[in-house]
Amino acid sequence: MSSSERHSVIPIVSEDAVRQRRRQQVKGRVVHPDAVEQIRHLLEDLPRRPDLLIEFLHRIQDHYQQLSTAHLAALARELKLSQTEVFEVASFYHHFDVVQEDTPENACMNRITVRVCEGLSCDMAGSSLLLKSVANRSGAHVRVIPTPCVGRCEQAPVAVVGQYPIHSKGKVSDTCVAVEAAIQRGETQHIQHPDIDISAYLAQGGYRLFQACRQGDFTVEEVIQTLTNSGLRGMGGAGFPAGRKWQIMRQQPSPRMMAVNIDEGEPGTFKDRNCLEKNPHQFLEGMLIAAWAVEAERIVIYLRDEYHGIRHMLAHELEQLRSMATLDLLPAIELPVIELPVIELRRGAGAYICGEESAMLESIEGKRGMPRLRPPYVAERGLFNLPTLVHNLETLYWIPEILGQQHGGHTASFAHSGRRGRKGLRSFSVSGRVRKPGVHMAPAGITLQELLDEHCGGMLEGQTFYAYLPGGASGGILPARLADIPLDFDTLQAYGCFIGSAAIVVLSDLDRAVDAARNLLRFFKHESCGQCTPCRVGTHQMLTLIERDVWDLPSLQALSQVMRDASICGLGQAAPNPVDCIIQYFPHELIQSEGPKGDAQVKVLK
Amino acid sequence: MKHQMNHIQLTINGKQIQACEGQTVLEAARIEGFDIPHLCHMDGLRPAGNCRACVVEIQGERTLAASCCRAVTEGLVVDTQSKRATQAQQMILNMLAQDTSSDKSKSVDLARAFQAQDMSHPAIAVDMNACIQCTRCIRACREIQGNNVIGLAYRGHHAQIVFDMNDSLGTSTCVACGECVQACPTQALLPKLGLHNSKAQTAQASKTVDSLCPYCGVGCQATYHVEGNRIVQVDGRNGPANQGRLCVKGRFGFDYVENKQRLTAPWIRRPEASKNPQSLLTESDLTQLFRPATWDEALDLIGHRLKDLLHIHGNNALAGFGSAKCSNEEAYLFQKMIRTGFKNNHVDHCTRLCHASSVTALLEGLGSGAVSNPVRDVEHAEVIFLIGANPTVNHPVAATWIKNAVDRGATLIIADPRRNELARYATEYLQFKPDMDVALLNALMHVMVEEGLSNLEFIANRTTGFEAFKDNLKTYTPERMAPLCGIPSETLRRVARLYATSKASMIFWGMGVSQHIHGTDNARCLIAMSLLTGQIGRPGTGLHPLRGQNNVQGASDAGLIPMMFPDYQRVDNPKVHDFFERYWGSPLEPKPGLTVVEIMQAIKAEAIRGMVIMGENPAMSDPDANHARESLAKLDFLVVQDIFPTETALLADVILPASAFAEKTGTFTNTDRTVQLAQQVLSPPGEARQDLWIIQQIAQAIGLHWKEQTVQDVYDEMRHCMPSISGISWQRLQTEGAVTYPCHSETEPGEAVVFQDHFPTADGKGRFVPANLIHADELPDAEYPFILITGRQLEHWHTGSMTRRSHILDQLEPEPVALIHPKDLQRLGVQAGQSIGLTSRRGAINLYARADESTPEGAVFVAFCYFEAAVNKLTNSALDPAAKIPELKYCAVKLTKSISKPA
Repeated sequence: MSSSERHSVIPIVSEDAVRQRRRQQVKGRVVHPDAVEQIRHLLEDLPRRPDLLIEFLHRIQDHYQQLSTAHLAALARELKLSQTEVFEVASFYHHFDVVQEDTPENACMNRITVRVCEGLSCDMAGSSLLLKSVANRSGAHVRVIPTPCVGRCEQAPVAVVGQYPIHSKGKVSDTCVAVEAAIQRGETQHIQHPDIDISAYLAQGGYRLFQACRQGDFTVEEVIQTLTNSGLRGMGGAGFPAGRKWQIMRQQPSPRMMAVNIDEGEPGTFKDRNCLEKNPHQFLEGMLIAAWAVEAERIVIYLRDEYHGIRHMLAHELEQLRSMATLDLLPAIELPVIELPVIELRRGAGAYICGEESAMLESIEGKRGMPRLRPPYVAERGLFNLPTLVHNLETLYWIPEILGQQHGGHTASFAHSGRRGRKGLRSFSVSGRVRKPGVHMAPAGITLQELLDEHCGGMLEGQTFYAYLPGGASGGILPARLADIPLDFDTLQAYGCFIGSAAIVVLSDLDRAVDAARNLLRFFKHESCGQCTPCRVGTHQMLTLIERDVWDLPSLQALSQVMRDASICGLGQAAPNPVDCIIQYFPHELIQSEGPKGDAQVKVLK
Repeated sequence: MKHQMNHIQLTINGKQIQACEGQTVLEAARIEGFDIPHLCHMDGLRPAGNCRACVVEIQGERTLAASCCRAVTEGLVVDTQSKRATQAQQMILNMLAQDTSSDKSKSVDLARAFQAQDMSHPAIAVDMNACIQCTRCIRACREIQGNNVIGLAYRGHHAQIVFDMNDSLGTSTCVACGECVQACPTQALLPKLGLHNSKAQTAQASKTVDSLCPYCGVGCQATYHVEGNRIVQVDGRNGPANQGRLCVKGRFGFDYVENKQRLTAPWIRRPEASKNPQSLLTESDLTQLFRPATWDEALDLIGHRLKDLLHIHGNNALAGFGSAKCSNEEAYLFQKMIRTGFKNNHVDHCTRLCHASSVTALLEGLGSGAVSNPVRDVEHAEVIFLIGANPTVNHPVAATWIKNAVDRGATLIIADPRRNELARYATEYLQFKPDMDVALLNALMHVMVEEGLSNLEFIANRTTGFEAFKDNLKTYTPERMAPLCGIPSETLRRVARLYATSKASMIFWGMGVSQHIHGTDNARCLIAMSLLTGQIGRPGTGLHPLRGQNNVQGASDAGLIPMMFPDYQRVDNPKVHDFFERYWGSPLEPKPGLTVVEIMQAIKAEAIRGMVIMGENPAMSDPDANHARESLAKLDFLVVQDIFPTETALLADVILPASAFAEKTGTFTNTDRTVQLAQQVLSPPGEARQDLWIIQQIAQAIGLHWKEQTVQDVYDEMRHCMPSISGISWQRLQTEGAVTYPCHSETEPGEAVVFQDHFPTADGKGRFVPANLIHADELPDAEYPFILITGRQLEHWHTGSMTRRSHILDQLEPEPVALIHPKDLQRLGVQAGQSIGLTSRRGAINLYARADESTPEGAVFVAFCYFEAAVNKLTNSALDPAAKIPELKYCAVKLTKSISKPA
């Protein structure tokens, strides 16, 4: 940075300019009537609720491929918000392109955006090369930008053209060609159909359990007992026992809310997408049963924006469900028309932090996704300050299966699965250097070695197993020698790691743990919401320190400690995990050497 | 109270302590003397817990907890001093220091990217490099002041405090209340004036003086930082009306006192200098028209000339205007001088131009001319009904309480032809047609009666005149009134239900209601609405005419009005008259005197020959100002006592240099009826003298043998003839700073909410007074098709004599503008920013056309603070028959393209 930059100042505007401005207009930006008309047109039927702000921003972004300040000002006027209230939300989410007045008008109109995933699995599969190739070979109307994990790690390296993900497994060149083809075709939308749609689901006896609950075949207490017995825990990563959560909810005053977290953003994780692609109604039935059990009046499903195809599909299936309910076509045993709770499908906008439950609630309320301080917990004061049941999709997905096994006489596979004393099944999202990446349903307590051998077909041809991430970006990095630890909640703490959402990324002899750590810290810095000092400043400083050739271990350790101790939420608390793991498990990637002044220093092995 | 008194036992640093429920760990630790570092916490702001500097260890918890956000709970075991806690606290401070560091010798890559300083705003300097993103400024801007200019934009390491949409502060919607500057813990936001002295140095200013803000009726308490004989900074103080809040005028508009145009010597008109009411008066005229004189010479001349006029033309020949900017003591002594020395009751002040009609209606209906509930009672209101007032501009700190109440869940209803900033907060905004107040309000009351929403028990027990009133309402159906007032009948019904059925509804109004020839009728309707529904006499209900000047309440209380002695005791009441003749030891005129506009007319009629004007500027503030200026010029002898050579002063025979607000001590009564003590901050410049001294000298010169009195002496004299404040001793004011009247004994706290069980009328009951629709005196026609609405703007006070001489305020609003709807501008073929001519049947001005969507089509709004475009040259002096208030809010004008600059 030059010294002139250091002393640059936005000057006092010449007096004449100020005078002319004051003569012409009231304080601040003038709201253009044309922009107001355009916004009204786009928002048409939607109620002008401030909590729908992000939905409104999506409409504008989808239509204009950008958010101009003129439109944001008009939107603020329309919603009776101040301009900054709209701007701070719009500028928080990565999928919104805010364009200030000084950029050429319609800079982004008719432009295709290609997002190249830089998640760890894609990175190992050559995403930096992909990014360069696509950028080199695309015209001016194509914008190519890197993006954090898009949740398609088994297909690495991945690029997304507009809203259309490119499905070509393996080679960078294949993906690059497919991207070009999609641009040529103008294919920017993703249409998906579930393996099991509503009629198929009904045909196999779907929604009977929900109806049975409503009819009083089982009491809420019985259902909770069944869940407790099955050992079902929160599959979002925290592992809170589901039955206990419902009990707590039932002690809260009415009205109560429910929110479903499908912001599946933990790099390496794609199990929720997998559930939805296979059988969305199994999840929806689980959701309805949960809402019934805690008497939730309103359900909000928060889906990460990267799952465009899933969104259209889920919206459609929800519509089907609603019409089935009103037409009395659900398997009514004796009950007449069902009054479903209000179900809203809401769209994220590119923010990993919104997978944190309280940040997700903020986002649903139309705000910046910044985690809340606890206490109070969301069960006491959640969405719109009302008691709220928050579940990860997969947790709900298991409910019909568990209840069906218990009450339908099937073999009770979930509750009776497990190894080494652990209980239940886990959906492992496996990616990286394995032969068969994908979601693998395996018993809790399985080891990485068993998972590799029994489910993943071993390592890729000619590569040797080097290290693995047991729980996505946050769960730490373990070396191959620790491949025999049972994988489950609570089993990895002793190693400074955790299973989280069971996202396994496997590294081989082609990879270095230090590179993985740098990738992950770049991710955390990018995704930190910026609310608290330890995370906002800490992720930046830690990345800066580990990108140097010489590592300042005392500083890194001090940073790690304060981030763990003092960050508001799990992002900042877990962000140092990769670095701590390098220092603990991969000392061979660092070497002790002598610094310029003869002092001891730690260098990264080239 | 914030904290309930439930006690909670907890352990902090091994010490068993007792804390109150609702307290935070930080507060509890602080009381025990354990200091915990903190940055984002600020008393009075919602805790945010983002800086994390105050983290402490709590037994049984995995991570550390922010003590500023953690409420104490039974059995909590806290360690604020453990190694883990203190290391984290220290580390956070280090990280923030590195993040904001510009020291290149250190690890510069750990610092965040540099941002340009923003010096675009006249009042506030911005250097975001010093920002630690604690969001205190955001909470101050949004949650305290409700201005919503500052936001936190972008994310993570790029997160940034922004104004509007990352605009420079100078081009943003910032209203420069300065609450953010007061809240900022670093050097990121600084007052520009004090830039040469950093915050730390300001803290070491040679002295600080606790006093009041000199501007509006809200009555904010402020602390002045003084270096030598200069004010360098003003901070909000924790007064009952403002709790530390201020607005742009109070915080940044203090430097007028040192403006080079200050009068520092008495001036006597040169014999050859004629009085020309038409010419534009400039500063250089002062030396051309006047010569400096000594006090002795000036006072001698005043004594002789006034006594002569009195002798030749009799007891009705002299009159006086006092000022609502002067203290209670000054107002009291001034009216006493007129009544005993000029031997008549021709004394008035600008209350005649603001709320005379409100006061008339309130005295008639409820027996008391002041507000029933303080502004901050909105905390207890469920519905707030605001009509004809623009508090974000004219009572900015009062507006913050209204915004806070809406944030808390209160319903705000606004009725105003101009859409003000509060409309964004309103559930119902009624943009009714100007002049149609009675139609609107009668329609609302019609619904209340028709739908059975009136409070019959209250009406039966506490009021009279309901039956006749009800009959009068019959024809005012919302369906018939809808086309007249421009509000759909369904909206009228909805609003009527909201107001009538809420647990507590409170009415605020301003000059949009009062400054009409039917101003008294408008106020009568509002009073009736509260009586009809029983929405009065309880917390969160009642009637609050927002008083304009900082002491318009006190000046009226002190008797600066022609028909009343102090404390609203009528001059024509023989008992009262006798009392004051004895109290003042002087014969008194039993006939009420003339009002402001009537005095101007009496000068034209050669009935009044001489005047003393203390601190008022009728050449700018009176309607039909050309006419007013002619009257002033016609006087045989005019004395003006002021701090600047105002437009009025330049028509005087003698100008006396007076003291600014900051240069004297005295009591001031705000819109809430709270009497507050202002302390002298500076000494007056040169030969300028305190007004109380000047009044006593003039009294002496005209032959009144008063003994010399200090401020306290005058206050004591007042207190003993004003039962309302009899319980408020000087001693109390010095210790308590603020006491609300009525307060009849020194042991009473003072009554903030009045009329709880009776009204101070003869029969103790409130009186319904019916009102019928009459039109404005001068309606638009083909020749003059626009409606002219006058008023004020945020940065300028009244006639601008103070604020246009304040460097910052004048920079913020430097030129005269007419606010016109963009569609009207288009029709007129005028570009925004171009010069435009405004002409009425009485005068013409040129000014700049500002596009403003809040002004209704067919109307134009102009503030009366610009001498170069004095809009009162255009206004109509037609009077409300009951209150004699002129119709400043409505006359007909035409708009023309103009090539002339304002002049």
